[in-house]
Amino acid sequence: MTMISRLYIDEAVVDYHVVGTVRKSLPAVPVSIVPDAVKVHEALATKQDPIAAGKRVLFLTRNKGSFLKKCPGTKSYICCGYQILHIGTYCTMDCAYCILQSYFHPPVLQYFVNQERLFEELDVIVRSENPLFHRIGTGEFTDSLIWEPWTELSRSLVPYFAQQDRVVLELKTKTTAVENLRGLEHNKKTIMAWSLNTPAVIRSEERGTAGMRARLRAAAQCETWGYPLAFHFDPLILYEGWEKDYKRLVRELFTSVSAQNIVWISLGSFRFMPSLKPVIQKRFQKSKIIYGEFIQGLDGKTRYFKPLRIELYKKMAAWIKELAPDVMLYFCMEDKDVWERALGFVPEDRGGLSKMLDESAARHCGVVVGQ
Amino acid sequence: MFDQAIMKYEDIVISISEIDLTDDTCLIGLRADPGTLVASIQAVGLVSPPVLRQKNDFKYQIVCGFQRIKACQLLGWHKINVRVLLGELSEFDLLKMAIWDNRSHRPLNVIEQAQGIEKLSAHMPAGDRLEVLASILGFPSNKKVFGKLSKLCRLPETIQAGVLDETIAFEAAVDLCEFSPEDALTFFDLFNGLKLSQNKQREIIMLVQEIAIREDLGPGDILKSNDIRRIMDRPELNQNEKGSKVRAYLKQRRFPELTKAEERFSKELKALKLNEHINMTAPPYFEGGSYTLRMTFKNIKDFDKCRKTLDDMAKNPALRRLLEPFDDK
Repeated sequence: MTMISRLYIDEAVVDYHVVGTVRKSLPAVPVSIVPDAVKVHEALATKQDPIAAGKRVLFLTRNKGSFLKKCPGTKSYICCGYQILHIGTYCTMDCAYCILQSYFHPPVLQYFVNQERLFEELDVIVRSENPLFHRIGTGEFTDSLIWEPWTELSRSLVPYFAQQDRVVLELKTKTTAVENLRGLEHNKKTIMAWSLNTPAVIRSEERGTAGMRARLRAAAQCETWGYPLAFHFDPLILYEGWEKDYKRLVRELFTSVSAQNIVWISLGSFRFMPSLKPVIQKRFQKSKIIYGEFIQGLDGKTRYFKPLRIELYKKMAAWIKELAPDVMLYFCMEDKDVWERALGFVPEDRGGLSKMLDESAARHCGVVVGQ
Repeated sequence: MFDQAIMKYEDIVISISEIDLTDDTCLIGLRADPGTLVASIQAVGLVSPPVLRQKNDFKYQIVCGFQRIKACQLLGWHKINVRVLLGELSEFDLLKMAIWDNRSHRPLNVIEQAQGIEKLSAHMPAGDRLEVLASILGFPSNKKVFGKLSKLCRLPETIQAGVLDETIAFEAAVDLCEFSPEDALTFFDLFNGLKLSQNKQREIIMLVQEIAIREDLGPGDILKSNDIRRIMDRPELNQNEKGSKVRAYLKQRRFPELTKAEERFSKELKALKLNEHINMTAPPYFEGGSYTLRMTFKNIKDFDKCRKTLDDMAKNPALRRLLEPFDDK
């Protein structure tokens, strides 16, 4: 696990209970009380690699905006309609392809301690009848479980969601930090999800993440505790030998956990904002992932040329369906053409992707899905 | 500006053999052919004497006037009028004097600015270099410009000279700083045989770099490959045509599937037998979006002709193949 070298605390939040919890978990880490984020940014700006340095300082502050946000999907590609629970930003792990490296300026490990507002916002959507059902997750701007060693967020979130039946929470991770989830009352309303990739990709592109088998063991552990599961093969990367490796990965998945307990599996091929390319070139000089056959997509992101994506998805879908014919499989940010060619249908034929995912959540998590 | 506002000196006549012609401590820029300076000195004499400093070994070091001394030498002179600086002067002051001597009658070129940065930086603390050097060397006080100029000195002198004679564009030369001198020279040799804009030179550098990384090769392996050599050796092609072919070859090697799709599209488009008034284009990279059909006509007769072509086009099986480019995947 990445060592935190300094804890910065926004002077406006020093008295929050969560701040005390974090400080207790990092007793040897020097603390600086700062008036605002500017001081943290200034300290990072002097570092040779501010992107790496931002992973080793932890800034405790308030979320001044909304805790619930819409997934930043675009019109040109089909979005899953998931909502983001914005608990903090950035990550202690260091993946070459991670958009967070260029998404925040500068990226800083930042945790929001004003969680009374977070639960107020959750209360609103739990009571909301339009729509009746929501899927939300914490794994968009950060990894959901990196915070576990310092905070007790999952111990607050999981029981909260257990008490209602209109919202499911997805905790998405590349870690094995599941110990805090043991024994929690979850009532199947928390879906434990892992990003999966082949050992070759993990080795070369995902510094500091758990290995593939370790992730699957953690998933199997959560399955024994009754949690519904989800998996995200994202980013799928084309490299020499990808077919053999991904096929084996799919097999490993279904020998580790039962397909019946998987709420959904997503497939997403590697895509990135053009601004990430120089970051990868500088920080991951041995990485070859940006030298695939990419084109500029309709959303301005760089993505594999379409026939390559189709071939990749077709094969992945066939391997998955062979072992788990009934599993809910979807593409993250792809167009109708790709859906049609790779899966033989488009989501709107089945009521739309959101509805398909909601129904799968209803089957696995016992939630009420609206009309 | 200088530690001593008024420099002390004496004008004397010395033998050219007393000058250390190999000492380029104060040379800012490349050693160049004195060109018209020879004729000028021959016609009117040495109007402005070079400025020298006597070194500990009693030889004279040139501070200003490298070209003038070279011209006198070419004219067969043995003696020369010089201005010798007196007293102790720091190397930093001598460099500034050499720079201002040049700047008094013309702006410095980018290579002089680059060498000025390198030589002066050795005598300055890192913190305030940008502002001070921008003012001495006359480049915009901008971090990006400073970063690019600072790199140029890493290039072999042949390429630095190529920047000045525009064989290679400034930005492309900056890109080449990331390569070994050997690889940079291989790129330079290629550009020397082509006529390419800055963007095209940079495109070639990027394509070669990315192919090299992807295929575990050195840039030289690609640039000296038989495929490129064959293009460069074709006597019937002019420089522009060779440039286009080299770029097309590299693009095809970097993006093989996209190139195939584009070729397939062109082939099917030809099979549609559209007339010169109708044109069809695919969406960018075939990613999605719409195909565009453009039709021009001057009168009803033209319009009817186009309509007939469109009717034929609709029945042509090539149209389906063209609109479903990935069906055979």
